[in-house]
Amino acid sequence: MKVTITEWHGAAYWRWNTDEDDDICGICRHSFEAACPDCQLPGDNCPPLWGECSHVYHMHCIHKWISQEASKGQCPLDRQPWEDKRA
Amino acid sequence: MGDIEATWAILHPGVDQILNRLLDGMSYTNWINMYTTVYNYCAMGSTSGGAEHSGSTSTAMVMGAQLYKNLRSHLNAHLNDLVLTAQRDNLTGVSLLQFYTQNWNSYTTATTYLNHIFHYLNRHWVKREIDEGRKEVYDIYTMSLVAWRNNLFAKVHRPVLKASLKLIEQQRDHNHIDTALIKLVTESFVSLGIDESMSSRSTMDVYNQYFDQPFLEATRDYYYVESRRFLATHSVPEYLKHIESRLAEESARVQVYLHPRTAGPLIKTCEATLIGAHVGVLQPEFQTLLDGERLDDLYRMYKILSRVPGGLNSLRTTFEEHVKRQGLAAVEKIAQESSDAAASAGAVDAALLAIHRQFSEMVQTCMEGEPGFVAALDKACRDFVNRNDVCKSGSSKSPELLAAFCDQMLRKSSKTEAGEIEETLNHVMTVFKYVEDKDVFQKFYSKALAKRLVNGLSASDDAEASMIAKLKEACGFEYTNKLQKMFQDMGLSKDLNDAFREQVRQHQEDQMTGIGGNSDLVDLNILVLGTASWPFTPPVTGFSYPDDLVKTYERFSRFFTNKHSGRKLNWLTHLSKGDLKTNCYKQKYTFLVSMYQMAVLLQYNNGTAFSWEELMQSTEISPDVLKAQIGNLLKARVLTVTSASLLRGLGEPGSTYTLNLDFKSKKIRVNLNMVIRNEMRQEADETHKHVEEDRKHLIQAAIVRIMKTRRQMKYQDLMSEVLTQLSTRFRPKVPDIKKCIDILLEKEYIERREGEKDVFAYVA
Repeated sequence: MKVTITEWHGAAYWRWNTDEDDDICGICRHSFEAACPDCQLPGDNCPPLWGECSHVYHMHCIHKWISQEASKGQCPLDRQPWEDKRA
Repeated sequence: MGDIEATWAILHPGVDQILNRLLDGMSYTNWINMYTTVYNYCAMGSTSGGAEHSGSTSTAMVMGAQLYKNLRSHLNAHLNDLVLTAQRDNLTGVSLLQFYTQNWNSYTTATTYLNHIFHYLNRHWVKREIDEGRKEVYDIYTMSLVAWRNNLFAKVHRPVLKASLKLIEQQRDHNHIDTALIKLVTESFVSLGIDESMSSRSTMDVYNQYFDQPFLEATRDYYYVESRRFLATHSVPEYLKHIESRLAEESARVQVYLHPRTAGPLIKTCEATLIGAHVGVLQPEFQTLLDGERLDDLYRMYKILSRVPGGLNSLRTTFEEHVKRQGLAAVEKIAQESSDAAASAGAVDAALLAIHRQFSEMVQTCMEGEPGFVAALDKACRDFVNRNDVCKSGSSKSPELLAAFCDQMLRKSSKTEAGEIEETLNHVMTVFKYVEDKDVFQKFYSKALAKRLVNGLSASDDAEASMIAKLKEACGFEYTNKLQKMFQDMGLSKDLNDAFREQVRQHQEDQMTGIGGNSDLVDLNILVLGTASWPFTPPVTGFSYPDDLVKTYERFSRFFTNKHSGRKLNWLTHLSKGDLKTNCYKQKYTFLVSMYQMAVLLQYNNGTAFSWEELMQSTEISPDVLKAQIGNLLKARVLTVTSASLLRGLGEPGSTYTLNLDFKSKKIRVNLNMVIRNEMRQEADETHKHVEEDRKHLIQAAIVRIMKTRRQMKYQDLMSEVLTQLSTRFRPKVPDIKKCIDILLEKEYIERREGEKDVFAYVA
């Protein structure tokens, strides 16, 4: 071995693992990389949330929606009962 | 009536003695006798004829008119005698003043006694007359003053005033005078101010008319001549000192022998004659004082000119121009000395700071922090900070340089002490206050900060945090939230790395008994950054992880996905780097390399020479990037090319790169990961372009925000509202705003009101 690695300093961006071409929250129309309208900073505290129906929204947005009487606890896009996707 | 004859016969000698020979003294019996005589006369009823003591006092009429008249004519005669004496002796000047004041003293003392003796007259007859509305009847003391005014004062006030003014003039010429004389004269003038309608109340009429006005006129005349004579032979600074001492003298004069009421008008008169009349001569001299940095004189001039209305106006303008000139000159000097703008960043900012510091101190010490001068300083600073020789191209160069200066300060290589850094940062904030394009500063600052953090070049977390706090204070939360987020990411990354290492260690222990293990993992330290907060662009090239790294890479990716489900990692290969230990030379070196270079060099573990195509294929790095990376390796002579390849040129098909086994370096640690200068310039240009893009968004957002609340707005109003809303960040250009309005019209966020010119409405 002529050279060996002693240290490696990496750098990486992380993003939400949402569909890259359609990374907008269906409720607030903001990108998942940006925060929901109620948060000032994007990142760990404003994550997206997947449902069993495979739709995804900002966690804050879908929770707000579900808490409304009119939502009947359904996903806004397919009218299926909303269930958090199990990890 | 006979009574008055008898009564006056008793009183007359006593009155005469009190007036003329008071110091001889008077016996108690005499005194009582006089008092009783007055009482008897007054209490005698008018109808009782000769029966002086008949009848009770309760029914008696109060007598007194004749007695009052007799006393008055006696006083008149006494005063006329005095006038005659003065005229006979032809008294003038000081001797006249002495005569006047001596007699005033003895006369007022005497009449005070008479006032007591005639107490009963005062209490009854005089009181009733006054109650019945008779004019020209006063209590005895006041009557005596009126007598003085009508008989003596009326005849001598002119010469007395003339003599007093003469004396004051002598004092102004710095001769010694007896100030007590003037004090008594002015006091007597004040006492003679008797309100005809209400004798108990005094007025200032006599003093004002017969002393104050003539005195002020004399003052005006004196200083009119004197100031011109002084200026003809002295310099302006000397004249300023002269004014200062003259004003002090005049104030003292009031204290010593004038009525306090004179103070205001007197100082006003002096100011008008000494300062106001010469403003045109004084103001131009300000520039000379600034040039000579004569702080004492500057302060004096400020103080003196602030006394007259409008006196400071031209000084403020002169000051503003001067500061601006000094600022521009300082920058110009640096620009001439060094052609390299980047290197002069520190020098320019240091110069601007020095200028600001110098003149803000001047404003504080010489102008007492007067708001007008503070504003002038601010205006001048804003001008030269944003438009100077180094940033001819536009106001956006200054914030770029300022951010670069901050970077120099906060970098590890900086030789500045921790305490000094804090101080310098405070001064940076002073300049920052004047920067118009704060958004440009933000962009460059965040870029520089990101690089400091990623490359571990930040000198101190405390200093970084302190600077961000300052910016936050100046521009608000929104301005700095990305900067703060970067710091958070650094902390999160550290935790993540610790967790990863721990997991690897655990795993190793578990596997101790088994075969293999993790011995082939590389020591990885990774920064995992939130996409939205960091200003880095994604890598422009593909990359194939060499075998040595791929295991660690995969291991970490797995670890991350497990830890944070729903998240995805995108490697910033262009920011990754590492250390390589060499085993192929006599000396063991450590190469500091980019990850791209690492991939290239690792190839040479399996050979000594590779062709361009081979290297491209194995690393999957794009040609442009690979060219630059290999260029650095060639320059450091880690790799060499055959002369045949050299002819073809770097990166041409068929060129071959050989590991130089004779590599030598004086340093053990060799940095091969140099930043290419060209890239830096390019990056700066791109940053400016980003700023332009961002501005368009900011302007559009502002327009929509405003229209949404106002619903309908005139073009001009909208324009000015946008300008004020954005002024904290940058100064939008009017054509840019117009363009943004057009874009929004097109997108139908807003529309033109039909039938109304230049009125827009919000489209919901």
